[in-house]
Amino acid sequence: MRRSDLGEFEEIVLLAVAVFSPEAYSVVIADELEKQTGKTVTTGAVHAALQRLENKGMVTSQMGEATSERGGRRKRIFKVTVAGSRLLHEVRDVRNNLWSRIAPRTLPKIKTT
Amino acid sequence: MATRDRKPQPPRWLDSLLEHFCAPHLLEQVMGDLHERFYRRIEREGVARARRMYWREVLAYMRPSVFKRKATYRTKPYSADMFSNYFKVAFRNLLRKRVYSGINILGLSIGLACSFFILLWVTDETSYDRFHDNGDQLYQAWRHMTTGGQTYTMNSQPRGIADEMAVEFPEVEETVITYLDQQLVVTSGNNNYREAGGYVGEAFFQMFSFPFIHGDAKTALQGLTSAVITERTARKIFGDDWEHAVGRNITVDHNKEYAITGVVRDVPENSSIQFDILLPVEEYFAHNKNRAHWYYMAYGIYAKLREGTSLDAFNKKVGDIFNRHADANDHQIFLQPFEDIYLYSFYRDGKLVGGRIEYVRIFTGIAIFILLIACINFMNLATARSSQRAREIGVRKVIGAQRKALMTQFVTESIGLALIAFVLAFVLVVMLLPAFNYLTGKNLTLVNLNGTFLMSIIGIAVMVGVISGSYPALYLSSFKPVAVLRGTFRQGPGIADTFRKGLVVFQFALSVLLIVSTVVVYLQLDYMRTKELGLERENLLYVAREGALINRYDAIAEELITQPGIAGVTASGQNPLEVGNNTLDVGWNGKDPNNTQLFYIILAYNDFVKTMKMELVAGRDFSKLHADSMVYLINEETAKMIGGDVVGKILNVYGDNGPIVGVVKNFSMNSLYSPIEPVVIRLDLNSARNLYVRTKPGETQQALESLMTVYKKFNPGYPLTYTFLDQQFEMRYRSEQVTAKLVNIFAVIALFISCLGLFGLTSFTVEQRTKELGVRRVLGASVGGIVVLLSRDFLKLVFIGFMIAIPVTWYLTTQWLENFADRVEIGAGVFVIAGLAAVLIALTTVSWQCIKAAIANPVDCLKNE
Repeated sequence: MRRSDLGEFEEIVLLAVAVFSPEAYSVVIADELEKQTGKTVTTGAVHAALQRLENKGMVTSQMGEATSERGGRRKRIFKVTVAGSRLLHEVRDVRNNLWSRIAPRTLPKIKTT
Repeated sequence: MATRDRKPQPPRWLDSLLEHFCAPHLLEQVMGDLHERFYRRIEREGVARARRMYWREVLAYMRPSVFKRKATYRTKPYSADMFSNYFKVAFRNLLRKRVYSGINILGLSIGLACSFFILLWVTDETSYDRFHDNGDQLYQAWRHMTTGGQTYTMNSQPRGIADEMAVEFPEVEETVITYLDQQLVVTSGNNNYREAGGYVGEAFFQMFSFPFIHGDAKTALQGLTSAVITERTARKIFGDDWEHAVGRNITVDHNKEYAITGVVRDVPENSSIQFDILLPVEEYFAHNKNRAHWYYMAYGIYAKLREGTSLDAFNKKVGDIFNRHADANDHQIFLQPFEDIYLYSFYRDGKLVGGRIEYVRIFTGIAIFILLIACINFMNLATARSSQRAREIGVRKVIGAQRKALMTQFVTESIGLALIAFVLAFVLVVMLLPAFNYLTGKNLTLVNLNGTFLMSIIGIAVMVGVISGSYPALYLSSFKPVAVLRGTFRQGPGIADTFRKGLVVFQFALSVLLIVSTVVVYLQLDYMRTKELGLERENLLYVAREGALINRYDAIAEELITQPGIAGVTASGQNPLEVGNNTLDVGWNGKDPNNTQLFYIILAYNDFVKTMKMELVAGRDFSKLHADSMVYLINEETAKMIGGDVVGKILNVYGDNGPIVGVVKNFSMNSLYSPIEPVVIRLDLNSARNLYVRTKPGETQQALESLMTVYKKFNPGYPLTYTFLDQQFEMRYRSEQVTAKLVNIFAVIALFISCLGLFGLTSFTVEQRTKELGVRRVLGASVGGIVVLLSRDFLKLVFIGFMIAIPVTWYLTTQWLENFADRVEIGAGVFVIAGLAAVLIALTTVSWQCIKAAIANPVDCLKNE
């Protein structure tokens, strides 16, 4: 597996970082993902994914300011790098490409809510 | 419960759990995230759910990437700078506290020296017979013989075992017969020499690796006239010309010529097979045809099995080889690995129960004990003095030393000390090695020490350092810097104090154990040495009957008895203190047909009882006045078995009828380890292979001269060699004596080291309480009162140690004494006296310090404030 390969969760976290930029940190990401998927997402899981993404060079981080609800502790703010951006684009292109080639009515019908 | 106006808090214990696990550099953001999430959840989902979810959140962080410490966060206590500082501080401490350092180093180096000696000895013991190339394929044949409900285990075999084993079993590559430990007279030109050796099978040198200087190992013992000698014998016989010994002729026992076919290197001391001359065994059997009989069991038989042969399986197959060929049912033959025999050769009831390995174990145990005692000294002194170093520890901690770094420091210090002690110990060993050799009768050197030995002694030294440093390191590094530096630090009666007391108790228990055991061993051996044996072994010597002594015995005996200094002359085939021969073949009228008792047989001649100075219970001695032909003497055990008035009864031994002429008092006829058994003494000049001479007390020199004169006159071709029975007896129990002496010395050393420790502790306590003692004195305390005050605590410990040691010692010594058939009575007095002696020595050590403190002028210690 290449270092730059992304797992599904990592990809989503990376997208979320982009969404919340420039104030992306694990709590807001975890909250958002929990809201979106309806499943429990712990900050620990997000934290681990962010660590991995940082190791792969997809995001960079720096310590941000402290808030009182954090007990005066600082948070770590994440930002998507050029490599991360390129990867997200690639992934989207691949998906779009594939979507566009699905012949009409091939996929079974589902009820959209 | 949280009150309404207080902000709800996440569960505290989960936070502290996380604080413990989480890497420090991540903790801030992780904790921040958790708390922020917690409050967001409270807003969204309520306090209860937030709490419930919190543990799941915390759990999500339990992953290696969170635990893992960033490399730079770790302190590096192993830097060279810190180490040089440790050594500097250690060295300063060493010099500042000379007494303690001295006690520590002295104790450790004596302890180490003892263990090095023991290691040397053990290494030598375990090196026996390990030098043969095919050592792992070599075995010796043994046999169990069961009779009368008793199983005897022996390694003397009939020659048939060797022949049949080689033929019947494909696993057997080779067997060899040996008939060694003979004294042979070797003649070359006009010179006669007595050499030890004997007869061995042709394959001997292919089986055992005794390197040849000249000649060929494969062919050296072929034919009937070949002879192999050692280098030292070659030098003795041929002088500077020894290199050309091969091909030269020698005459053995004045009747047979041999040609030397090989010269081998001198047999190493750590070989259980010893010889100076070897001759072909077939030549021996050519002249002694009857000695190849299945019931002539006189030979050592060795076998070489093919590689990969299972000994157990082979022993199952070979077990009945004797019974099949000799039409018997009471023998079981088995092989024992040759390399093991030196250490494991003591059988009881058909079971291998040990051998010299017991000494190896005893000494290894003692070495460990002594080292432990020395280590305890170190620990006790280090922790006792800890208050003096508390400040240093406090300062180090404040500056940033972590516990691990401090532990490293103390362990380094003690390893350093142990290495100094090691050097001293090595010097001690070099200096005392000759004395040790003299004591043990070994010839140990430090010259050809191998790397393993050196590594292991250095390893021991380092280990001692680590062990003795570990407890102080744990203890000292646990000091709280605030308490220490505020100046309120005091060593109370805490765990450390209890532990120290425990160690002193343990130390003295060990010392008392060693001392009392030593006394018991000494008493037993002394009892054996001075015991009434039933005959007088002093002033008694024997000479092998060779040459004229065989045919003209009567004439020689008659001439000898008239010579000055000689009190009695007889002949006997057996040393009466070591009768090896036994037989089932003893009968009399009315003997119980189920009686399977073994009878020990002595083949002797006229004046036997008188010369041995045995005591007659009934009847008379063998005597030429009665012109006896086939008569018997028996001991009390045999008389008891026959019953009634035995003198005059007809006894049948080996098929020959003859009357019993006398009964002798029981004498110790076998070994001090085994009980006295029935003995029959038969008049049989031809088989009485040794001439026994009793000298008059105090006229030994005169007697020897007389013997020499007569011997020269009748037997000019034979060098006279004689053996004193008492010396031989001493030699036989030599390993016991040596063990006793060594254990003795080590016990004293153990006590000495313990006392060193006690001395250190006392003087430390006294030093600590100088002021208190001064005040007490000023207020009118008596010297005696102060001595009692100071020594009471220590003596209590020593006494507890004594009480613990006694039952253990009692158990161990009783076990050991079980080995002896005839035991000395050990009363409680021995334990009490030996133990009290140890306590008394401890008391002296302690009280000397105490008295010194008590009689000091109080002004000296009080004037400073």
